[in-house]
Amino acid sequence: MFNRKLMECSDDEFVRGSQCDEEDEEEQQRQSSQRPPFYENMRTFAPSHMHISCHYDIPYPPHLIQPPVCGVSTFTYAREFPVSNSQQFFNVTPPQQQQQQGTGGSGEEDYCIPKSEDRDHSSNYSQVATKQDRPFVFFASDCQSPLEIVGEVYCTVPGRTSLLSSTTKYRVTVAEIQRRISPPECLNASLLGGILRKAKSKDGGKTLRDSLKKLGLTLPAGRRKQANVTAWTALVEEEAIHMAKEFALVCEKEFHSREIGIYLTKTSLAIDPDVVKRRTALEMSRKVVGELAELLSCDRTPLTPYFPRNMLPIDPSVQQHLSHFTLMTHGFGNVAMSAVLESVKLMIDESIKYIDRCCSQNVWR
Amino acid sequence: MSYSDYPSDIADYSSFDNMMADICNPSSSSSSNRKRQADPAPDNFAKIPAGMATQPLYFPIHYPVNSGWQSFDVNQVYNNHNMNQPGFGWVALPPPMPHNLQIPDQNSYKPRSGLPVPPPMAEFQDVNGIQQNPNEIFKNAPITSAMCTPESDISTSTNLTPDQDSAQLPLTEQELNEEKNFVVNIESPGKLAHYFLPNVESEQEPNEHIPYPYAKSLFPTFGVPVSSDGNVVAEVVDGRLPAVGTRSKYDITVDEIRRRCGAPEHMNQSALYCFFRKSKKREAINRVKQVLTVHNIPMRTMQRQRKVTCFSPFLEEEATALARDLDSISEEFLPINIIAQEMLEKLMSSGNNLDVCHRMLKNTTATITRVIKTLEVRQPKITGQEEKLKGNNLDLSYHNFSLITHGFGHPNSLSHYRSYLSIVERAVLLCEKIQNGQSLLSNEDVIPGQKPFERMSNEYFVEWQMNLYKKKLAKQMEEVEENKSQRGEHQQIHQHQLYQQHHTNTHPPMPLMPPSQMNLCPPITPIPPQNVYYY
Repeated sequence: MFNRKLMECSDDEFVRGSQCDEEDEEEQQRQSSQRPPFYENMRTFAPSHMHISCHYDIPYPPHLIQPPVCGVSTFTYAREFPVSNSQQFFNVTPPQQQQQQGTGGSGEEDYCIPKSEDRDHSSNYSQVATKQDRPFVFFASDCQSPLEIVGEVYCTVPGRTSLLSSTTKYRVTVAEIQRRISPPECLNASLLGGILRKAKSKDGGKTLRDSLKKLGLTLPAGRRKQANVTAWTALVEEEAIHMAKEFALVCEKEFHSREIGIYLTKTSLAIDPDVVKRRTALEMSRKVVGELAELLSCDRTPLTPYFPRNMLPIDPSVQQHLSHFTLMTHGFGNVAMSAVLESVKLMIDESIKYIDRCCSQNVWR
Repeated sequence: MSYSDYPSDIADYSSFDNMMADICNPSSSSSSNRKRQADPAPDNFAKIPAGMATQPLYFPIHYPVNSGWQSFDVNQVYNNHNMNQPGFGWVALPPPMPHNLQIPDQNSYKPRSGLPVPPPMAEFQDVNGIQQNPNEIFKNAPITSAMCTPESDISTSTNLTPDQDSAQLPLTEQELNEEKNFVVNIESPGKLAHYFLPNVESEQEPNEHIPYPYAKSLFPTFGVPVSSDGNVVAEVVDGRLPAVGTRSKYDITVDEIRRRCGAPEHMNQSALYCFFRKSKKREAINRVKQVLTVHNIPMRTMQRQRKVTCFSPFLEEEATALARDLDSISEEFLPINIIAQEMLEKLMSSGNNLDVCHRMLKNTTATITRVIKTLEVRQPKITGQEEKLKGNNLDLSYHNFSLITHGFGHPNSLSHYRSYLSIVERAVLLCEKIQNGQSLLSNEDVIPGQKPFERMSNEYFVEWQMNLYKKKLAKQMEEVEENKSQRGEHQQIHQHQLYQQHHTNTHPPMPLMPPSQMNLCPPITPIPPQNVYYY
């Protein structure tokens, strides 16, 4: 099974190498058209856990998301679907079909004629499909949907924040790599290799590029760095979020909010002995801090799928700006800010409790 | 000895909670306690029977046992048997007894049947345990029993007149001034430990320089002797978070090694290899042992590390650099203006008036400012930073937090607090603008059809557009309903808001529709162009 797939891949490459002129013409056609093909945009999909609900809400079968094969006519004919249905789902107009047929010329006709004669054979059809689905090459099974690529684990890397006796492996998903090579970070092959703990090869990172190309990711060449390299660049998302959780736990257990709250209350009461006024001010502060904490917890930036998220609604304009901050810190900044806000809330709560004890003592006396 | 001296002697050292009370509120009778320094402590110390130290405490400790420095074992220190064994319970040698400690005779430890016992009132004990001094606790004990009967209200009110003043003013101006004038010696390292553990070099210093509240306090965090070679660089190692092309070297000082070997982490030799970035080879083992031997850092062979976090492998300089980078990212990428505006809108939508919102935000600004001040005036001891102390128990709290996070927690918290302060201050400005009649600047509008992220998926972008469309539609409906001036229509507005809140909180988002069906909807607002949908 795997050997056949490898043979098919080699055949595709051979055919592609021999037909350079035709590929150039096809690329020109794609650039000229305003609407790029559907499968080129498949690379931009978010992790699968965000697509599952959206995917099932679409009122048509998922297998129809696959791109057309060598024109709509061949695809619809092979799947035995009427032409009207394909137009409705794929939003393809008849003039475009004519244009494609006309611009193809004799080359495309010669390419399609023998395949249409053998339409009954499944092996020939799979061969035809693989030739057109060049960006997506699967070795496991043909039934795997392209939507599942982004949620898959590309590799596991050893953690940088582990002691000798506790080595931890963190999972790096395809979507994470996609986010790292995209804005705002725009990592190149060299930096990406450092993040994935890969050694530099003599071929200039060709192996890494090829492996990413199989997944549909295009890694640009050159020294392209839009963002400054910080200490957080070397961390993967799961590791950064794990560190944030550890920090939140330390803030919860080791940060002495009680003593700080009591001390602040004593100093403020020494300046202004109005207890009721102070208590009211603290309650107001607690409310504002709660609103701020709730707002920050509504961040829905796509991150590693191994981290539960809060799915509360948020203004898209706010989300757009919060995502820059979250992507730059790989998820640490948001969780850490929430943890610190929780400690502030605890301080305020302890202050209110202390004032309540003082007030009750005064009332009793 | 007479009965009047018995309660104060027991309360001075038998209860750990009273020590905390001393730290929080320096007692007014410090002059009388200082006179007892002339008594020879070693002679009286030998007469303490081992069995007396295990007696139950009169006042329970009101702190959780599991927390680090608050779970200090009082009996362990004052037990004659354990005190004679070197290294028991400590990483280093046990500290000597405080000079100010006064140990009474053996006869005074016998319980007397006539001693008044306070009633078991939990609330009152909580108040006593935190606020009042040991002497005041026993002075108020007879009054406590009188407070139970309503007939004695008149007599208690007359007797409690000075206590009311102390309750209303927990810290007097004089005490605040004394606290501010706390002198910190910059030259010597480990200032806080200096006052707890007198070193060989500092034995000749007079006892008058030791602040009274800290003479009785012993914490395991500082159970390491102070030496003059704390700032000596023991090793230079590579960082753990370098990207390709950026190499970084960090220094490990002797004091840092002592802090890692001490509480609360108690690293063993195996963990130090990781700290030194060395493998467990003969040369590395000899190197680590040499460092420990030269600088006289004691370490038990079978000691295990108690707390392991993600910050354990980090050096202090590295953790500080990590916090610094996060601070720069926050300054550059955190949308303060947008968050402030959104927060203000939420506060106003929850039924608050503009004046109330302004007051709330002002109070929050004051609270956060106070917290920031407590952080800015203090700097726990880490490599490359000058230690700053204020002279109260908050120094210990922040020091412990800094120890566990290897110096990351303090600057990171300070950075976050400053960000919150900026957000709240911005919200105050926006609120004042609205009060003055000025209109707020609208957020940057998103270009129709443009994705917020270059790699955003189509489905997610459609969902994002739908949410934006729904929000605009809701705003238009609200504007239409606000134009109507009838009372009945105001009720409809209220119901609409309730329905909107209920709908947004409980119901999941609507399922996505194909573009053909979306085009059939009536265009109340301009729908984004069809180029967005690539189906």
